[in-house]
Amino acid sequence: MKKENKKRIPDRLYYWLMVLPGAIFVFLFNMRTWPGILGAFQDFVPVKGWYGSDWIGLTNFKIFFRQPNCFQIIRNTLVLAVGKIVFGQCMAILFALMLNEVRNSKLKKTIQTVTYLPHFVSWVIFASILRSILGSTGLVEGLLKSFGIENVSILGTASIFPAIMIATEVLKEFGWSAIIYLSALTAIDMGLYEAAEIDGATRLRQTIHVTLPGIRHIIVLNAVLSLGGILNAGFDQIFNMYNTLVMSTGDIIDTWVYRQGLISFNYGVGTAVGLFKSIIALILTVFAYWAADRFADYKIF
Amino acid sequence: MKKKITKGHIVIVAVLILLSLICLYPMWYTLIVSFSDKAYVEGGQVWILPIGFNLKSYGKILEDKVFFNAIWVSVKRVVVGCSVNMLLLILTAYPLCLPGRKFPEGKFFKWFFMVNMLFNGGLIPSYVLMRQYGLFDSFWAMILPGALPVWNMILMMNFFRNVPYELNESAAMDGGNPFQILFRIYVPLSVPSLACLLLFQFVGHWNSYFDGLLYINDVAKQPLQTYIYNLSMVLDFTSMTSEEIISLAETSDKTLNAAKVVVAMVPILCVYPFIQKYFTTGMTLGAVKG
Amino acid sequence: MKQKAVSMLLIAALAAGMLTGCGNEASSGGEGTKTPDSGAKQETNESPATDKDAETGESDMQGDGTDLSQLTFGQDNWKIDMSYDYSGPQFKRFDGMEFTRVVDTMGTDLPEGMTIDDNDRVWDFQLKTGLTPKTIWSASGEAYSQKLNAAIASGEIPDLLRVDLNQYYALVKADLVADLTDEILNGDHPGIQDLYAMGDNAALKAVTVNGRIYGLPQAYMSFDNAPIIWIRQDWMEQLNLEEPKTYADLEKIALAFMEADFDGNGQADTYGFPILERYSTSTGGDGSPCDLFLNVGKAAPGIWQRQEDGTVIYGSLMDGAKEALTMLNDWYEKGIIPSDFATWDDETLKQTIGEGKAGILLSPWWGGLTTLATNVTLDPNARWSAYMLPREEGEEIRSAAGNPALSVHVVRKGFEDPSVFVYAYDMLSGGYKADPASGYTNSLKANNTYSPMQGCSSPSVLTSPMKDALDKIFVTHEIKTQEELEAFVQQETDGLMKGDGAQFTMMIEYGLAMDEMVEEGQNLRDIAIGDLDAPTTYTWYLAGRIGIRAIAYAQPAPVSTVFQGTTDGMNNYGTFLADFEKEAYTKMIMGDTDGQSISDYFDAFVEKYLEQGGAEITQEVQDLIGK
Repeated sequence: MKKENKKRIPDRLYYWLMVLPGAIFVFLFNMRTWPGILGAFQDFVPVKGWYGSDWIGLTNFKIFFRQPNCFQIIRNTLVLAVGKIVFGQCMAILFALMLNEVRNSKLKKTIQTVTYLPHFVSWVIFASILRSILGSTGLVEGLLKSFGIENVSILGTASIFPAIMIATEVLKEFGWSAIIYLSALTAIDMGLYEAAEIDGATRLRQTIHVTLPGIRHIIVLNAVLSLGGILNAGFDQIFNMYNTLVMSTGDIIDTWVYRQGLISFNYGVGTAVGLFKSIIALILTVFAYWAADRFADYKIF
Repeated sequence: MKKKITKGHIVIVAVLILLSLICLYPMWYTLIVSFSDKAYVEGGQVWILPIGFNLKSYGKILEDKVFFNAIWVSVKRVVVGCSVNMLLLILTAYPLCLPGRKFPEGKFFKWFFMVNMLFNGGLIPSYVLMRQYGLFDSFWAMILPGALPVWNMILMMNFFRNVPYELNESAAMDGGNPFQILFRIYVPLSVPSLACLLLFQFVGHWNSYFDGLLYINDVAKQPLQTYIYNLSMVLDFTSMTSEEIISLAETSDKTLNAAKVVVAMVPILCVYPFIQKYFTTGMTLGAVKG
Repeated sequence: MKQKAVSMLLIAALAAGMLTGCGNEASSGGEGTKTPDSGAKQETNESPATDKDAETGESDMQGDGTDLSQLTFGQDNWKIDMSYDYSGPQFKRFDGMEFTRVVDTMGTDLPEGMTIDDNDRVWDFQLKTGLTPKTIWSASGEAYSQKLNAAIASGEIPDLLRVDLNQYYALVKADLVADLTDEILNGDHPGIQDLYAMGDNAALKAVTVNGRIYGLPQAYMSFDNAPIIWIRQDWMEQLNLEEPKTYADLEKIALAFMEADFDGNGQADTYGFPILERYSTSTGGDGSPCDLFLNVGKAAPGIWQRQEDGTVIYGSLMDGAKEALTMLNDWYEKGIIPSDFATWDDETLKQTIGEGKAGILLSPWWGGLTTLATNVTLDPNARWSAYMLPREEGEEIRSAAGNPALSVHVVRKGFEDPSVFVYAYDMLSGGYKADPASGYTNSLKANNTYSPMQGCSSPSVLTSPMKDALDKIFVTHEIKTQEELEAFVQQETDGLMKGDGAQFTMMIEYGLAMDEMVEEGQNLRDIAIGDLDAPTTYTWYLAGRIGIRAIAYAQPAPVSTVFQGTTDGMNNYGTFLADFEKEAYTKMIMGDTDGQSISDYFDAFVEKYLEQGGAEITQEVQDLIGK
């Protein structure tokens, strides 16, 4: 009787039932905000709404793209974002692999707890600590001076600013990012290691041939999902660390939008730039999806 | 036990300890600031140990009813929020992890979620929408908009794919319906991943302040991080009078704020070990791995 | 708490000045624009909630005194002081009327037992206006502005709102705020009309959009944020240095400080003259070298100036800036300006001063209470003096006088009777001989930020009419008490103003008391007055006495912008141009000019600036304000 009942309800109906609640929430709270995107093409006035405001074509986009250094800003954003994704993920993976080698479980847990702490310190506090350490009276420049390297301004040199930003971001977040890999590592069959060991593989070889392939899909997945944030170079960090001397390499899209907001209270420009970012992210994600499928025969989702 | 400690291990442990020390410092700094005297902090003298050690800041926190109320709101939010998130996460991820032939519409939903992850109307339409839904000043304003965290759902989907599909098939043969298969096979086999995502949700809820700020007008209903965010001050010479700026400088209290940050972190530190054990100690899933 | 009460008193004394109108000829402009029908308007202008008194603006409130004297406010049952004169149409009460507001708590807590809508700032406001505020929400600092911006963008604003100019223009464009033009210009509000007229209506002009006025601007015409030069007095004495009279002297002092190595660590780590990149004359504030530009070469970075032929010019492009930049560059080369000053912020500055790593600081008169306070607390020997310097001895000193309008109070369009806030503003703007709450105002415990209409004060004591008073207080010492000051103010204003001397007393008598104690041989740094401890007393002395005195001695000529609005060109190119300007200035100071001389580099900068939209903006501004 029971069995027959189940036969009557096709699995697909169950699947629909499972997906729908989530889909409805996403529709209600995200998709229904989409009319706001129209603001990118409007001189938006709240009382008139998104259907009544004046259409001004691409003017909002022009304000951003017409300014002489817009490509510099886009380039900076890309450099910082890609750098953060690449180095951040590499460091997280490396850290996870290293931690995997630690056998004293107390030490392991302690290290892991400690390294994930900076994630919870806001950039305002973190930046003020960094400025004190890296600034002109700070520890680092003092060290450099004792090595005879004078007149270096770590935070005021455009050429090294992106590197400093990437390094500090990685430092703050690697412990946190590693959590997903640590979790994935637990899913690797211990038997594989034993087999490799019997074959005489060193620990390093085991890592390369067993561990890495074991978490490969998570690495790829993280990389692809990260593409959605390819034009988000970390506003909080840059905003709290940048200065006039490093504008040529440190100014990013989000900081520009912020400064634009200070000059004119304009939602349109912010919306337009946001739309631009989303479109780029979509294109890249689709491309990555296709590439992973085509070349690695791996369906990301 | 059977493996000997090699030079490589020593190097690795040394590197890890060094990294840990670096990572510990910002937190340590916040801690010593909270114990120090305000003047020394502002004079840039507090670096290694507290100067002018005192517990005044913590005393003030104890007197602050709003602060404790905010903690309570946050706790409620985390419990309810995480439950809703995890339930929807699991429910949504499962059908989408199945092969296309089992659930042909899955592809549509995947792209639907993906596009929604990338495109958002922005703050103002959300604000208007929340008003329209009557969610202002409601606890649910902090739960419902992010009820399904799409990014994590996609992660979950991939974790589920690690569960061998044969198990699904054989369970289906035994007459299990998809709900049973999901909760009896997939969920138990994905405990480390679920623990990991639970942690993400937990931290996400605990740390978020912006929804509480925008949608909750009643201070008594605001979560902890909104309360802490509210401690920030802005000195704007262009639109403030000297009167305002002086009164700001007078009330600016870095040590108190640091103490509040420290107290706000305690729950995170308490919860972590419980979740952590699921993904630091290796689990042997040999029987399952295909 | 007490300390705060005392400090608020002094602040009030300094900021919530005491004079308006004051027989200024320009004020007649405001009166003259009154139309005959304003009286008739009053009669129709009934506030529905008021049924007791002052119903018609013309009524003599004293005649209805029985009603007024029955009213009580707050937990302490405050009563209106009936000994004041309430005659005059400008006194109108709106008892029982409610309005909504939002509050920026600015991180300050309310005293025990008070709430956001039930505290002494609110009672004080109710006492004066009868209006009852209802707070929709409150937040602090960054959180407040984000919440407010979202609310504005969604078109949901409270009945009364205080915004900055940028938000004001957005609100006007969004058609969310009530038109107050007629009420402000032609209503029965002599107080504010005189107040605005004092500054040649510059504040009103700043908020005039297409000929209409949609808000009550906070007139601001003082040297409140003008960066004066603070120097470590004890260091000067140790090195036997003379007081500076020009910027050249300042340079010598800076070099001497750097050489002296006061911390004795054998390293060249003392900064001569730390500055921040705050070049704009409209901003001023800590570390801002804007007054150097004003005095050396007479350029006015960041603000609009009218040239002799009537054309406008953006002050950062004025040729004279070259001279100041060359001087700053020279100082930079000599190591007087920190090599990485461009990476500094308020925090760095405060730390450097706090640690005793610099003995010269640019900071407003109130810097004694803020940026210098850390140093004063940490170093029991630190003493500071303050100066305003000309380029050459005997030359007139110019200083940043701030924007004509600071913040703006706007009323939601659709609010039943927007005029109530104009009456309220008039009542609150201070200086009236009839202030029904002055007895209480001096002892308010809640932070000013909880006041429903804050910052609607008249111009501060530092502005022109009070210059004489400052002279008599600081220079000739003719005014030594509150009574003397009141008498002086009454005389100066033909009896229109009583001059709320009680607030001002703090500044005079407090400073004098300290002076006397020092003469008696007490160490300036050991004096504690009232509940303030020794270092805190000294910080108050620094701000209220040393800082203000520097301005009183210097008698600077005020420099402020001739245009405070915003144009399409600014929206389109403003961000780029602002960055470009800041970068060019910083590079010139650092001598990073691609091998060109500063003069050539500056010319190239101006040319490019105009090319990239600067010329278009200048034309727009010119069109808007006319020749």
